[in-house]
Amino acid sequence: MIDIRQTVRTFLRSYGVVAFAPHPVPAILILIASFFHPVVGVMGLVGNIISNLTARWIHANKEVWRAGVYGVSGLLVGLALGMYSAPSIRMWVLLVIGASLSGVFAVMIGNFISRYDLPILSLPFMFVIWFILLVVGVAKGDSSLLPAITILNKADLWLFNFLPLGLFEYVKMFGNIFFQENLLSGLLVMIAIGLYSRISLIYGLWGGILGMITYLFLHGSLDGFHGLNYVLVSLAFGGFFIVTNRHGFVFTSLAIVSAGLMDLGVTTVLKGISVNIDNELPSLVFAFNAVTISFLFPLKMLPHAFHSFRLIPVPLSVIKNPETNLKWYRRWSGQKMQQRTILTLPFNGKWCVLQGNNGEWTHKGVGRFAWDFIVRDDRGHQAGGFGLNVTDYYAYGLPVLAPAPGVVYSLENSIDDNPPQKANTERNWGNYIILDHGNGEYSELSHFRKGSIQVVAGQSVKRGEILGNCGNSGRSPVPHIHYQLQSSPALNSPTIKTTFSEGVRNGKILTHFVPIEEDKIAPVSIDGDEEWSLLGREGEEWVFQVRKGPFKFHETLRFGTNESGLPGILSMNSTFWHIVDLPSFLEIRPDFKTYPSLLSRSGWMDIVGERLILPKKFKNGSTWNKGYCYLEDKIWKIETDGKLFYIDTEKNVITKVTFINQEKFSFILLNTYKLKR
Amino acid sequence: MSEKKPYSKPTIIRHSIGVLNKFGRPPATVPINRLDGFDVMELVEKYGSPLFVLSVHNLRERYMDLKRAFNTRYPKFQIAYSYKTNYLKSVCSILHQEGAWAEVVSGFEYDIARNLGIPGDKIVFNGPYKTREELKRAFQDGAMVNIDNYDEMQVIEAIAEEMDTILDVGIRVNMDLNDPPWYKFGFNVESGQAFNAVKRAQSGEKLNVVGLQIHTGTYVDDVTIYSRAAQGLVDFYTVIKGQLDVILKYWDIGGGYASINTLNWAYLPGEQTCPTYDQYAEAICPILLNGPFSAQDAPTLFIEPGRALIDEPFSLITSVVAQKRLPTGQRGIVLDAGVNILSSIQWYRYNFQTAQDSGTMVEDTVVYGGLCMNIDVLQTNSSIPPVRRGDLLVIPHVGAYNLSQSWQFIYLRPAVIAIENGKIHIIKKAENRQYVQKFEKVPDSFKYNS
Repeated sequence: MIDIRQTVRTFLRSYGVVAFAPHPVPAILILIASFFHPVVGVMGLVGNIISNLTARWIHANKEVWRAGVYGVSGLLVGLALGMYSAPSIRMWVLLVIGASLSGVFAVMIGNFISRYDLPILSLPFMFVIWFILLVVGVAKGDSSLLPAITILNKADLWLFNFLPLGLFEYVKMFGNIFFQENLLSGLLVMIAIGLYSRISLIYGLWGGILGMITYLFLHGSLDGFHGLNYVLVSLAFGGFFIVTNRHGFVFTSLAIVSAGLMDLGVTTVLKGISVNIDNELPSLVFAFNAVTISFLFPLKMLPHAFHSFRLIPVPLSVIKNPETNLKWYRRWSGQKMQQRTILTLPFNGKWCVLQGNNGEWTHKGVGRFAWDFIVRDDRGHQAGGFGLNVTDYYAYGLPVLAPAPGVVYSLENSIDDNPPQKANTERNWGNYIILDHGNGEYSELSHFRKGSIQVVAGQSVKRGEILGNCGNSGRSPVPHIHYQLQSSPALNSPTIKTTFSEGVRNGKILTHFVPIEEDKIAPVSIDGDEEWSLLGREGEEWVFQVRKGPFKFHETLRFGTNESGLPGILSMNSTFWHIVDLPSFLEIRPDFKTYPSLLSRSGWMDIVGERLILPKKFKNGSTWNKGYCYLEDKIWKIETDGKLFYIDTEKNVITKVTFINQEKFSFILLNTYKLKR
Repeated sequence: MSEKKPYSKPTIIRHSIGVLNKFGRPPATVPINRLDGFDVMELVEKYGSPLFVLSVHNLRERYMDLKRAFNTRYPKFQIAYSYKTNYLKSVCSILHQEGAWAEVVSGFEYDIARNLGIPGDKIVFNGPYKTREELKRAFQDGAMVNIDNYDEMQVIEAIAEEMDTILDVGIRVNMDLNDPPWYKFGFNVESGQAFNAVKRAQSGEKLNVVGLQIHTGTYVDDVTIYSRAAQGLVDFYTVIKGQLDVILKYWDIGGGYASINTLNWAYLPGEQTCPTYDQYAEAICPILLNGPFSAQDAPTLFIEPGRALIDEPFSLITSVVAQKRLPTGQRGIVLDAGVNILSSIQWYRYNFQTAQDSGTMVEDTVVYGGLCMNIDVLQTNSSIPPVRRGDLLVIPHVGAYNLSQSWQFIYLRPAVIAIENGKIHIIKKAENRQYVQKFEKVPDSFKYNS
């Protein structure tokens, strides 16, 4: 069954996609602009519809179809046919054939090219239109018969007297994108682009200027100047396919100049192979397609190589507009800074930090992100009695726990415990365990009691499993636990800046905190077993309506599992968010394994934020450092990280999410339904 | 000029060396003349004698120590204070302030806890005798109820039916741990009775077994008994989990932890034999963590300490009212405190320490209470320096059972004061005749006309 609204939206979006503004509102403006030459407009619309329906008919990817990219070529075929041939029955038949062919081509090229995460652009259009024109020959359509065109042309002629030729051509070339040769349509397209993205508009204008300069330099005059290639290349690289920044600007400019060279070259070649030398085959947007694909390809293939140049390609699934790309990048680059392992404190009960990060004794240099934990009683003493024996110390013999799941990489279990106030500086690490967390991060725990380690190398351990007992081996004057997260499995490896995911400090629950010296910290222990889970049922979908200014978007989130069976939230654009099980908090964070291309959703779809932490069990009035929650009329209101979640106690689903102090986004849950299997 | 030494009557006593030997501790000749910074004499002048004194600071510190010992060894842990050892409102309230739950064994204690504002879901309800009304109230409040016997189970099933719900319950179990074994509470594990009880509870489909409770004994100074109890619980849980699909939310290893006091029949003094909190925890927690679960799904561990928390913070100040020489040649002294307010004298050999400097020449002394009863003997051989009528003695570590088991006989029960941060609070006033006779009534026809 075809959803009429959705289908209409897709048709509209196809118009937007051509000008890199894939949204119905700018698309309507563009649609109007295309109708200033009514025959061309109608042919474009028909081409668009046929192309889209063909793609739909041959079962193209639904998400991509909705984005409207399969209609682009059909639309352009229609517009170009309207432009380059006289209206006749033959032409209409050709339109139907051409549009459906471009729909098929679009799906074919899309499937092939999407494995490199490259866009289809208007490649199908280029093939189809050249074949058609090669077959039927190029003819100028007689547009003077139409009254509207006459008026527009008169207006243009009138304006021509006032405006310098440069500016006139400049604005017109935006209309050129849609085969319109008048000022007003150019203006409309400009407005449409500007409405959707200011960055795009600025780049579009810059593309025009640089294009003119390039053309002047290469051709000697502005005769026969068609700016659309420059504008389109500029729009493509100006923040749309790559993140906009200084380096991106230089890169874009280079692409614009290259497009000029390629356009002129292709024009010359086409002149040679044209059947009719007066009406040669038009080069159209070949230069744009070729330059965009070839400039994008290395960025997509070798993303890391270009990171040092700050040239960041944006995954296609993420792209909305340059502004959201920027947001996405800020978030993504922020995520790279954080550790991947979710750590809980490696002990039970209340301990005290003897030496924290950048400690005064041993936590220095590459080893600075480490902690030493001891036990103190309420009087501040570390030991009962006089502390003459290690056994007097409270910490001695206490269980040491795995701070995160992992595999025991290596261990030492045979070093004698020192008497108090003596340290073994020959074997600094004493009895130690190194855990491999499987994500390039390793936990190192030291100073176990001799012979107390209960695990063996290669054994996999769960979070909170007892590894051994606290002792006084190695460089340890008093029994304590040394903990660090490091980047390689060897001893003395560089440590990673680390936070513990949850803990209690001075009676307050903290999430993602760094214990500092003399902090008294304890793991969060949950009382009771009624844990609240954010996860919906497998296959359940939530559709969100998202408003931003005049624009409305729909977003679908689906609960499911990834290929390795981990539960998470999947957005329909393959973004996967892990639900990480902490003992008392649910943490939702992006799946680091899909780094980077499938990493996260676009900036505006910020439902889960950079990282969201919700308590598993809510209590009315409970607070933690990231937020608090309270119950009101059977609805939980949970404020965390600047977002307010409304959770229905009966259905256990989020009914609404609003931003409190970030930007003016609002999310409204439309409906929840189970996916058909 | 040096102060004049107090006169002591010349007596001939056998010489004993002043260090600990197999006959006991060195004689207590160092006077306890201050309690938490307050002069003992002044306290008595103000509040009367005898007088119970609670050191609040000490109580809180002990609670924190106990909590630390278990918390650092077991991921989910909760103390439920055993009300029966001392249910003075202030004592319970202080411990609740520190985070303790209430462990009650009767409707009366349950009422005390609720009256203090403790929510029902922070009360553990044990005891072999709970009335139907008490049980119903407990379940309605969401309290943790541990079933002691089949009769009780039937009552609870009836309540479940009445409430039209499935009730979460714990099962009390016992094992052969002590000599003689404690078989009074709950169902026996070795004989299979406990397994049958769990099976019976589950199959009735009115109850859901979520907890196990064991009461190992009282004044258990052998930590291996707890280790064996813990192992017994682990084994039993493994069986009922495997065969009856029981998933425990909690297990409760009970109370019975020793205090520093010396038992009457003990060979060594209590301060030498009493295990530390850490030793108890070390005996229990690692074994329990071997249970059939991962660390994150561990059942919550409950302990029900009473004596171990409350014994030491309390002291009793008492006055010497008379001294006499017995025909055996032994010295006897009479105190104003008797077995009526020191009921635990039946187990404990208390340490009587003078509140004033009475010299170092201790003598074997029989200590009598003030009751006009031959049984009122507090100790038959206590090493006490010479004291006179009016001198004060301090008996440390008297918090457990004495107050809740005291009886009113001949004399009125004394006041209880609490000291914290240099402030004295009267937490229980001394009784008076009007209070004791409040509920009595003399019918007119019985009235005496003078």
